Amino acid sequence: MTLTRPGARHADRAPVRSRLRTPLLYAVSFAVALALAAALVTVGGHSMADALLALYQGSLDGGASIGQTIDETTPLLIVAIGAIVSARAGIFNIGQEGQLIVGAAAGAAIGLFVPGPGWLVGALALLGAALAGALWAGIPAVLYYWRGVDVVVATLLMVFVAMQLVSFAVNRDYLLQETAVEGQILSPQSDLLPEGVRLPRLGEYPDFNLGTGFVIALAVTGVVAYLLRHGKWGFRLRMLGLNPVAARRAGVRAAALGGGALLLSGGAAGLAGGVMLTGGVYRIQAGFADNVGWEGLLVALVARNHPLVAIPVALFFGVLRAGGGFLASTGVPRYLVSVVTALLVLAAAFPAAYAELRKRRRPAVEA
Amino acid sequence: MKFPARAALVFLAAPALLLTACGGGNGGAGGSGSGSAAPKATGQPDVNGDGKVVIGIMSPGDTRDNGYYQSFVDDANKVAQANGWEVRPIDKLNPADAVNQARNLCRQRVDLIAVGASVLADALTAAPEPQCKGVNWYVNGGGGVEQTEYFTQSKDTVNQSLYAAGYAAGQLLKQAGASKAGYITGPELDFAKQAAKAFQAGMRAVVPNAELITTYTGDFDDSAKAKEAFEAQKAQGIKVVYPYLGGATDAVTQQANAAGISALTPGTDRCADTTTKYAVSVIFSPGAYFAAALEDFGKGTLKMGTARIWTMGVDPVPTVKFCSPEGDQQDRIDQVMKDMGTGKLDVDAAVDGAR
Repeated sequence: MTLTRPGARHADRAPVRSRLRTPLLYAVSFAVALALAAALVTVGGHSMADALLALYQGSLDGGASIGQTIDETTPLLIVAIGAIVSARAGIFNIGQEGQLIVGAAAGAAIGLFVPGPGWLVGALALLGAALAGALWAGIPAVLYYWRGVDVVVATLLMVFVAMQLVSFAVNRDYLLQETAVEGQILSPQSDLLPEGVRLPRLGEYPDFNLGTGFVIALAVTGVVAYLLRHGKWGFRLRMLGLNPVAARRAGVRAAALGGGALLLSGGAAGLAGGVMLTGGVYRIQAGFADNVGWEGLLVALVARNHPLVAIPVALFFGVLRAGGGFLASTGVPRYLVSVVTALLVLAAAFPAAYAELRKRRRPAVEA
Repeated sequence: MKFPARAALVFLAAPALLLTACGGGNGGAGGSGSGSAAPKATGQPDVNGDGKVVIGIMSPGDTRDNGYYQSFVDDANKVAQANGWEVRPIDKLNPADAVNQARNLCRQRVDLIAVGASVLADALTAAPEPQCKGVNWYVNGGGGVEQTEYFTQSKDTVNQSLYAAGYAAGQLLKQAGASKAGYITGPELDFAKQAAKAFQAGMRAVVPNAELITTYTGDFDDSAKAKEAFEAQKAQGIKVVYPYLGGATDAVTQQANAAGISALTPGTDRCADTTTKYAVSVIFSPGAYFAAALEDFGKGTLKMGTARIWTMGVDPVPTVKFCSPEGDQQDRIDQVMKDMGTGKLDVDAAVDGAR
């Protein structure tokens, strides 16, 4: 039997309530999202049960589906890890969509035009993709530390510049556009990467098959999680994010560390583009990024900036992407598929966003 | 952070998932079909013998655009309904996702996959895979896709359709005593640039000093940008506009109707439309080509590995039709198309030498 101090029972209730709040929020959030989705699907003349079954079949039922889900998860996770690094430094990079496509374009240029053994060119393509993404994020970093331009605005605007830049490149035969074939109108895309440059795949469709990019994603996640938790760099980064003034007083060089975090974040997005390019798409196209940058950012938000939590969250988003594509092939209109998956994404993101808002509104003493 | 609990969960969940993955070989709803027996090469259409005929359609554009891409689905639906088949359209497809979507359709055991545009041609890489074995493939190739044994395609020539469209626009300009026309399209893609070139060449065959004002809005479906482009062109004095667009076509034409400026359709026959009025229907609708392929499919005569070329002046489509012709306007355009068909008019030379 344990002895309790007067008032201790009351004090214990708060943490229990607090612990229950998050699962409850998720339950309510998903219940509302599913109810709305069911209503929309039913109004559209389809069965919600069939839709959910198709989502499951497309993402988790069988080797091919699971492989597809992990393939979809891989770039989301890499983008999310980058977003987490910059967010931990208190810098909000929201330009991953642009950094990803610029990275992929650089990777395509290296993969197509640099001579050498396939494995080496492939590795260089990935490295080049990461560097290009970092460089693209470097522009807002310079603007912020040199001229005080808001990082959120600058990184966002750079997305549109990136889209136009890549669209320009894949529409010019002297840049990245595919090789002309007699009598054919060229499409806005590059040639396919040579086979030797591509990331190897395990297994073969329609059996279980998987791009090896997931190894890169897990390695990046592991390293970042370790460094953030145990490394001196991670400690300084967190300190900078939590209290920039105290960090500066403690000798942290904000421009170098914060700017570096932004570069790493862009580099991760660029690497994600490189992995998509060499792991599955094999050529750069104007619509290449396909919202992976935005969704990777959401993964970081839902994971509340914890690298290891980002793994299952990215997997959930991967399930939605893989399952959504399969659902569309069952005859459910594409727009309805987009609405259903968006509702589920919102359900996943809402509790995290709500918690963040609550944290900001809470008085400093409580925090 | 409570590291051990969360990390343990993650490190247990991920390998478990992978092990599950290794153990599963089935591909979902329809089963994997890996190494399954090849469906009948002849005697279409229920090639996989599942008791129903399903046509999967992959489109890069909006299949509710009231124009080019919608015609692809609408015409397929007409043939499908007459035969009791099912049509499953997937629209607004990202080219980077084309292979995955093709695989998804194969897993749904469709009998024929129609690829709406050559930009989605990467989908064809799924054709030799076991899961897609026996599935018939149709490509609306336009300018053409490198032919393989796995698919059949329809081809037409942008120079023919757009030269004839330009010729019709030239006649409208001549009738109005004007020399300026507008051309509004989406992204600055090769086919859109080639279309503008051919359109201008046709226009100048009637009005030698005709000027074509070209605007690339960057988006075939963005009505706001397209309307803005039209207003800018109107201010420069255009008397004919060609909205070579997708979902934004009607928005521009309605503005043109209000301004008394003639408009041409980008692919479909809209002469009967009473709300949005077109002066000329330029018909190169992919639906017409696809419907013909589906008729062959129904008869069991659709052959993979072949291409059908649709020629102006020879086939019923592509063609150009004045909605309310004045004088000999229709006769003159008919003669131009006939000359293209017989080879009397070398349209490629006419377009290439235009500038």
